[in-house]
Amino acid sequence: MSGVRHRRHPRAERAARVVSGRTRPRYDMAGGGADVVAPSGRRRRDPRNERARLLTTGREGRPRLVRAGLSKLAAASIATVSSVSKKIRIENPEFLIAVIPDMIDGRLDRFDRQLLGAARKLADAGGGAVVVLGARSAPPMHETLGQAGADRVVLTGADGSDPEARVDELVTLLDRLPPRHVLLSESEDGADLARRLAARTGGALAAGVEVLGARQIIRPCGAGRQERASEPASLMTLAPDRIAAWDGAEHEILPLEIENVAPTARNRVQVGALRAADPATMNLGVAPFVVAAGRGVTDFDGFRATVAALHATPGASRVVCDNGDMPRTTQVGASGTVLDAVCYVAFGIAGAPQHLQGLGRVEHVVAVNTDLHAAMVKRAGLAIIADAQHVMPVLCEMLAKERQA
Amino acid sequence: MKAIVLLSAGIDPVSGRPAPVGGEVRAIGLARALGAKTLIGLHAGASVPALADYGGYGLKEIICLSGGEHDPVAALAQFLIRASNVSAPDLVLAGTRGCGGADTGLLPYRLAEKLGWPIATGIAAPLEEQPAAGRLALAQARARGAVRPVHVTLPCVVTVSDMAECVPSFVFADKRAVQVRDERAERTPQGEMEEGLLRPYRRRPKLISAARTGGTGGQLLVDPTPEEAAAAIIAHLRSLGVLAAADEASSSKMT
Ligand SMILES: Cc1cc2nc3c(=O)[nH]c(=O)nc-3n(C[C@H](O)[C@H](O)[C@H](O)COP(=O)(O)OP(=O)(O)OC[C@H]3O[C@@H](n4cnc5c(N)ncnc54)[C@H](O)[C@@H]3O)c2cc1C
Ligand SMILES: Nc1ncnc2c1ncn2[C@@H]1O[C@H](COP(=O)(O)O)[C@@H](O)[C@H]1O
Repeated sequence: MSGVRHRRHPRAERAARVVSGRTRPRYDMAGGGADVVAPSGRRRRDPRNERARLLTTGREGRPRLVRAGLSKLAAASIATVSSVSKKIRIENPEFLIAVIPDMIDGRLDRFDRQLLGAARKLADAGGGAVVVLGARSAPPMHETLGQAGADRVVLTGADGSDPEARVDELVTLLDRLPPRHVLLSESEDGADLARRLAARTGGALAAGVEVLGARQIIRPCGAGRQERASEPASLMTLAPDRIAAWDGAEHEILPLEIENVAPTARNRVQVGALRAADPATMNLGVAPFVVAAGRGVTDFDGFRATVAALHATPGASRVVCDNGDMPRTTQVGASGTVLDAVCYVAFGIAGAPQHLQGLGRVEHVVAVNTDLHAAMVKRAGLAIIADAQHVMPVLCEMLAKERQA
Repeated sequence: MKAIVLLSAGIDPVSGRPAPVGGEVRAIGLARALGAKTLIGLHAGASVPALADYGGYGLKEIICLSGGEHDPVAALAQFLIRASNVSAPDLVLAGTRGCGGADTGLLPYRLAEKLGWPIATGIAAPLEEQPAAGRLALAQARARGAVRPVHVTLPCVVTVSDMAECVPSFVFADKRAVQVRDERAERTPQGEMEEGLLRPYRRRPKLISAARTGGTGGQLLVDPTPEEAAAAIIAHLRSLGVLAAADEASSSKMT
């Protein structure tokens, strides 16, 4: 047996914690921040007390523990980030990275931002600057471009209606810059333009790049069964949703002296304006908005009128097609069509697994069903527990009334 | 009209075995929809048995330029220039992307550049009203079933979209009847090799779009009146942007 066993003396401990100067006795149980020394002589941790000391307010007012004891520092840094936002200026770049975004209607979409993110990666690896080649007909906002990571902007005159004239102009402009890399997105228009540029200049094209770094790019080939890793090419297209957009500090757009090019029309290829498809006859697999009927629908004339009023493409469950109420081409599901729609409205469809397979990529579902526990109701963003036969005519009426007003 | 369809010896992406490429099969369908009188398949490279499959989709004759695989663009261009002395093709059709090679879809563009012809890309169908002779009106396929009219002067190169619906039916007897002819291509120097390391594909996760994570968060209406239900549906569809706003709908009706 070694020595005396120390025992706690609660009454004495309590007496030591008395806060004086009050009529009623009060005790300071938190211990004033100092660690408590156990009667054995070992210092004891007070986890509650520690937590209170480490607690700071983080992003969006969420509680946050700063373990390194830097709570005061952390609070200070949050304050500076939010108050001072300094634009990054690249005055004398080592080289240029050219970006040709699609910029439909002069707006940067998600893919254009990813393109700029990739360009920043290449530029920041060696002190380069990012040049955006935009269209003069729909000039982009400097502020949004700067936030997306661009340093310079050049506007081109030719629009997409004469692709050959556009390529002529771009080739001359790129000759004058000349950038180390040119980036486009592997979207419909970007892919076409990149290939036209590659064919005109005779250079190589790295198409559909999925991984991009300053030293290496990786792109699929061989029917998607193989991939090729190589150095970044002079002309590249990026696969969508692969490379993150720029989320650092805003860049400042500085002017760039470059002689403008007057585009000369060639008129061998003329591309007209986009014509949206007629939803009533459109291919179900590509339709953006589908309204479908299941066995809960008995009034099919009313259903067809609703679909027409909503300007949607009609769909149906298998039971409805089997009964001959809707044509087989409208069947949605495992043995029908898999949709690529933005929104799907289901009237009286239970949501069998074979049917839900057809909704693979659909983001928003609206269900009208009498059964609160139907699988389709669970899948829906807006679920209405009501009889479809009552809702459909009122829906038609409301839309017709709006149209008259 | 005389048309030539460019055939690449592709593979099936799933099994890896030789198979016809979707875009090229559709190119045969488009050539027929355009009313091509003579239709010839052309492949730069030695003949392979899989090429006969294209015969089943409606080609009577396929010419293989053996020795042309080193520089397909040069071999194909040489053949077409030589053919134009005898009977010039008006139209050269190709798929949008190959399947099994570099798959960049660059070959038709390079060929058009070399021949000095215009190129119309991603075509799904001919347009109904055709302009005067010497020009062609085509429908370019775009996302969500939209189309863009493209007018192009002949002779031209046309690439056919993988989404085009002009897939000809397969006839086994035609596959057996097709003539696959080998023709020696003039020796061309080896085209530029692709540098880099080739290895099996590794699947990598895509970025998750912010739009998809921020859902509307399940709204439920139990036994509403039909009016409430209809109003809720219309408001929801408007907020998603799939239903035109009321004033737009009425103005589009007037025009
Ligand atoms: C091999 C195989 C493949 C299949 N492939 C497919 C496929 O591709 N596509 C497909 O759709 N199915 C397919 N099915 C069938 C599938 O399993 C279901 O049988 C079918 O989807 C059910 O259709 P439904 O929801 O319209 O009918 P039901 O299951 O009868 O559901 C009707 C729903 O309507 C509701 N309802 C009833 N009255 C009303 C009312 N007045 N107002 C509102 N709601 C009402 C009910 O509550 C119920 O939820 C397949 C099945 C098999 C075995
Ligand atoms: N060796 C070849 N011979 C003939 N046509 C080809 C050849 N390689 C590619 N093509 C055509 O060019 C299109 C695009 O191919 P690629 O550029 O390899 O992706 C294909 O769909 C074919 O129509």
